[in-house]
Amino acid sequence: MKILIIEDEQELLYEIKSYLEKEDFICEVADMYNTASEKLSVYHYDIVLVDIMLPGGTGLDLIKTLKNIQQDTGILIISAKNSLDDKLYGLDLGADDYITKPFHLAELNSRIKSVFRRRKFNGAVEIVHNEIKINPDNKAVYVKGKKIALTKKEYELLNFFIANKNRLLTKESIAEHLWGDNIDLADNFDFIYTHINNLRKKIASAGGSDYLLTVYGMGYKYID
Amino acid sequence: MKLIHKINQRYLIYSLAVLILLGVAINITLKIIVADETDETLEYTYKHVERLIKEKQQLVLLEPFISVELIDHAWESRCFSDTILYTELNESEEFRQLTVIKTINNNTYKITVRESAIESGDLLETVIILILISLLLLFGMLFYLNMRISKSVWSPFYKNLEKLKNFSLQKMETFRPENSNISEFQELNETLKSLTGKLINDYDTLKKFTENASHELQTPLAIIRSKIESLLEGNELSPVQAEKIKSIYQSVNRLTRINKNLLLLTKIENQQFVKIEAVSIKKSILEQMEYFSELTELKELRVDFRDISDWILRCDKTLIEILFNNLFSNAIKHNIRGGAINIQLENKKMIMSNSGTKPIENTRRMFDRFYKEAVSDSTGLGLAISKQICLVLNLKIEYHFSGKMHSFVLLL
Repeated sequence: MKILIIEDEQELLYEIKSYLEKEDFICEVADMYNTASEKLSVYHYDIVLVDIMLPGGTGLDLIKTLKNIQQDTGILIISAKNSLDDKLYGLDLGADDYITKPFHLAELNSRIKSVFRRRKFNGAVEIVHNEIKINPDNKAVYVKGKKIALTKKEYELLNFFIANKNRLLTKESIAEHLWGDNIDLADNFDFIYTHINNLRKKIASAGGSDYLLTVYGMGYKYID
Repeated sequence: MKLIHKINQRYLIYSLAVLILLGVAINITLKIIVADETDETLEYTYKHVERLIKEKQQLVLLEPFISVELIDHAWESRCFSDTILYTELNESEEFRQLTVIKTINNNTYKITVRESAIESGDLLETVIILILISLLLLFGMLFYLNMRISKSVWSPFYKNLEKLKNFSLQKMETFRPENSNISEFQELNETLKSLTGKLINDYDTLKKFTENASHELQTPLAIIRSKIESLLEGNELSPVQAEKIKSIYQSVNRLTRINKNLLLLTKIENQQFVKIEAVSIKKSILEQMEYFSELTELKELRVDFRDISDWILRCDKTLIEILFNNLFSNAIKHNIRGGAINIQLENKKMIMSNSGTKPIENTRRMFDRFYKEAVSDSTGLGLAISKQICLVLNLKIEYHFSGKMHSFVLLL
C-alpha cells in the first residue's frame, strides 16, 4: 500500500512515517502545498493523509484536485482544528475520514486500514488473523469458523487490536478509540480491563488462542 | 433606599423645618401687627374719651371697655398693659388696656380703655391656620409633582440599570442604553457604551487567545505524544526510564484532554454550534443509555428511565449530545457498584440522579472551571462544559443531594 503524507510539521511527519513504515506501507512525504500538488499529479497513491493548514495553500484545495485526477484514492484529513464545519466540508469534498490532532498513531493506523479496505474492497473483505475472522460488513466475528457473540465495544476492540498487531496499545489510546474524546475517561481504564478480559474469555471458549499480552502498567499488545 | 425616596425624605424633613419656622414667624408677625392695631384702636378710643371730657365735661363709661375715675393728684402717665378681667358671665377674659392718668380741666382722671384680646387672638389663630393649610397643600403638591417628575426623569436610568443587570458577556450582545435628553444621562450612556464595548472586545480577545493557544498546542502535543509512543514501542528503555516516560506520557495525555476540553468550552462560548434543529431529549437520552450500556452493565448499575413526556428543544444536536454524555459519564463515574441511575423526563424538565455516598461540598463552585472536590485525574471541566451548554441553551441546571442520591435537574 502506498501512502502520501502531507504535513508541514517535520517531527510529526517523521513519526507518522516511521510508524506506518513498520506496517510495511510505502510512505512518501510532502511538507508544502506545492510539493504535495506535484506528487499528486505524477504518482498514484492508495491513501493520502492531508493536513488542512499548509504553507502555500490549504489541504482542502488538494483534496479537490485529487478528486479530479485520482478517483480511487482514499483521503484522510489530519487537522489541528476540531471544527465540525471543516470536517463536514472535507467529507463533502470526498475525504473518507477526519482525524483531529493530537491523535494516537495506533488510531491513525487503524483508520488508514479501514479507509483502505472500504476503498479497495468496498468494505466487503474479511479480516483474517490465524483462526480469527472478522466480517466488517455485518460485524460478525468467527473463531475457527464458529461465530462468537461480541458486544459492540468488544468488536471495536478486537478490530483495533488486529489493525495494530504487535504494537503496544496504551490504555489511553484504547479508551479514546472506544469512547471518543468527548468525555473525561481518566478513571475508566477499569472498564477497558473488563472489556479485554471478556474478549479473551469469549475467544478462548471458542477454542482460540490468547493473543492478548498485558504490558504491565502501560497497556496491551496483540501478538502474532 | 431608592433615590426618589431619599430625595423625598430630605425634602419632607426640610419642608417640615421650613414650615415650622414659617409658622412661628407668621405667628410672631401677626401678633405684632394685631397688637399694634389694638394699641392704635385703644389710642383712638382714648383720644375720643379725652375730647369728650375736655369739651363737654362728659364722662363716658362703658365697662369694661372704658372706665374713667377721678383721682387725687398724681403724676401724668400712660402705659399699655395686658390684663385679665372677669366678665359678667364669670369667665376670665384677656384684655389689652391703655391706662392714662391725665389732668384735664384741673381734674385728674385715670382713664382706662380696653380692647378684648380674645377677638384679635381668634383672628390670629384663623389666619395662621389658613396660611398653614395653604402651605401644607403647596408642599403636598410639590411633593407629588416631584415624585411624578422624578419618576419620568429617572425612568431611562432605571431601564438602563435593568439592562445592565441583564448584560452578559457570553451573549455577545452590544449594550444598547435607553435614550434620554438629559445630558448627564447621555454622558452616562456614552460611558456605559464604551465601557461595555471595551469589555466585549477584551473578552473576545481573551476567547481568541484561548482558542488560538489551544489550537497551536495541538500539533506540539501530537508530536510529543507520537514520540513517546514510539519510545514505548521500542525495547531500548531501562525500567527506570520506562517508568519516567510513562509518567510523561500520562501528563501529556492529561494536557491533551484539558486542551481539548478548553477548546470545546471556547467553541460553545463562541456559539459555534449553530445547526439548529428540533432535538428530542428522549431520543438523546435513549442514545446515551445505549452508548453507555456496557459501562453501566460492567458497574452493575440499574438504569431506570421514566419518560412522562418528551421534551423537544430547538438547538444544535451536538450540544445536547455533549451535555448528556457529560451527565451520564458523571452519573457512572461517581456511582457505587450496584448503584442506580434514575432519569425522569417531563416536558421542560429532566432529572438525572445517581447513587452516591456523600454530597458535593461546595455546590457554589462545582460548575467552575478546574474545580475538583478531590484529587483526581479528571480535567475538572466536565461540569463547566455542561453549565456553559445550559447557558447557551437558556436552561437552568441545578444540583441536589438527598437520600444518598446526587441529582442534576435541567429546567427551561
